[in-house]
Amino acid sequence: MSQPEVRSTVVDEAITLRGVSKVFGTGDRAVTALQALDLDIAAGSFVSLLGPSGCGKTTLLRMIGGLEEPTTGTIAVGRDSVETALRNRLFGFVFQDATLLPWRTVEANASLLLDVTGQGPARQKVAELLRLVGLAGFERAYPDQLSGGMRQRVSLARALALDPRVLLMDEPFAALDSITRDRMGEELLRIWDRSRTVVFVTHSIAEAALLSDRVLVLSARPGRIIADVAIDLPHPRTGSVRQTPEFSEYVRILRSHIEEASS
Amino acid sequence: MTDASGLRVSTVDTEAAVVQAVRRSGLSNWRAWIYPSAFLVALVLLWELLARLEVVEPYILPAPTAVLDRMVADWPVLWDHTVTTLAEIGAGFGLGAVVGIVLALPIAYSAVFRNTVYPLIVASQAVPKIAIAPLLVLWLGFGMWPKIVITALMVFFPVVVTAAEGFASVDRSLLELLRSVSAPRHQIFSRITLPHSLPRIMAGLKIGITLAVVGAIVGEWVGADSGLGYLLVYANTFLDSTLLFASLVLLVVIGVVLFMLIGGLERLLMPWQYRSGR
Repeated sequence: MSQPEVRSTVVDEAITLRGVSKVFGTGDRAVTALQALDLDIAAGSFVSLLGPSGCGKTTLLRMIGGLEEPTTGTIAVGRDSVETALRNRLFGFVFQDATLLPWRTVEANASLLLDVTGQGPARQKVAELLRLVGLAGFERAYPDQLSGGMRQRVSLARALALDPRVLLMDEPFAALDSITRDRMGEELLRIWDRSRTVVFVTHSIAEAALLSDRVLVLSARPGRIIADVAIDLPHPRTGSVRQTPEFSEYVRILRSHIEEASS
Repeated sequence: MTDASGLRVSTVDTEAAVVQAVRRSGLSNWRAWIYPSAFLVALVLLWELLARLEVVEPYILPAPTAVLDRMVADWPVLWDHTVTTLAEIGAGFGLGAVVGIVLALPIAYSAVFRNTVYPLIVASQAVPKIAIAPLLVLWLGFGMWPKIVITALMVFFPVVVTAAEGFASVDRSLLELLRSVSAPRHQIFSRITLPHSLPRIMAGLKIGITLAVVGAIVGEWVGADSGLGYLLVYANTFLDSTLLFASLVLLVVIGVVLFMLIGGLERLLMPWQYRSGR
């Protein structure tokens, strides 16, 4: 795989999962969401978790981010535990819903995490972030004046405000129309720029193929990784990449794995 | 609060309906005032006409002008009684609102409290307030306190229900996001939970303020020597219908003004709810 050099500063933030499983409930009603899972995610890479709904991809993401405890196994970020990583504010989260605060302006929403952690006001930084996500000029707008795509851009800026090393994204573009969705994907790659690790949950095959360095296909109940596909497409991955036979081939491979996962 | 009882859901529906009705009635839009005002004026004119023609006896239905004359003539007395009732409403409403919001915190955040105390609070609403008013007089005497307490009892319920609902309905992923950066709890409450709950709490307060007027009057009926409720009973005893109507007019004015004050407070606290272009 021809990848540019990963920055030395982030080498330590590789994510390592060993024997990680997750069981919900107990006794007869116990449901195994994820089964004994070993996984290494390289620092600075873009990894997608792809699978049918109910395959535990969101649970996996939440465990990496420390929002959920694994039933067995260990997760490490670099040399640290997830708890330590959380304390050091290494994670940034973007959810399917933008979950913006209607009483705050775009600017104030983007700086929310700076405010609650006592680092605000940081107008300069927020202005830069909004420029980065393409929202310059909308600082004073309110969420209800924005389109779905713009709201998700604010959500992304909010996640980036504390400069997280690992960006955890749970179907962030699933609620958007397909044109907006494609454009947001391209913008995300531009913003990512190998400066941080991205773990991206999606159920869109094309989205996973276009954005990722690596796609992990999960099967449902119990969740297992049934395929680990390296996507070796050139960057920048603009719309023209979709026209290439290589892209179509990756989509075909992923689709056949998904079909296998669903059967 | 996913373990919703049917009772609670219906209360929240009522709350939503009231908010809707208030919005739709257009109390916030001056143009919407023209038609109801014109209709009211027409009704009063008709009433005046009927009274002047003595279609009904004056002691049954005094003319609006006679009521107005009485209000002007007896204004100092009426004002004294109005002040008493206003004080009871204010103190009772304040007490009820504070108790309601404070009680909503453990209901929203403690499953044990929610499962043990909340059902009892809901069940307590089956007890008619007017039936416990004599008991309150027995316990607290004839002064202001029984009126304040009964008013507070009426006010706290819509407030506790709406506030608890508000506190518990904050988006889960938003809370997780804030906990993920180890945001202090008081920061989460003041920056997220409280503003998020404000629209619901204000709806509860709007219902509460109308109930507060009822509470104060009921309290005065049971035992009082001043206040508009007392004046109603007094006027009734002496078949003094102009005084009766004068008191009623003042009560209506109090009710409407207080409701509008809460509405104004709502706009002041939640400008984002009223921005144009929504």
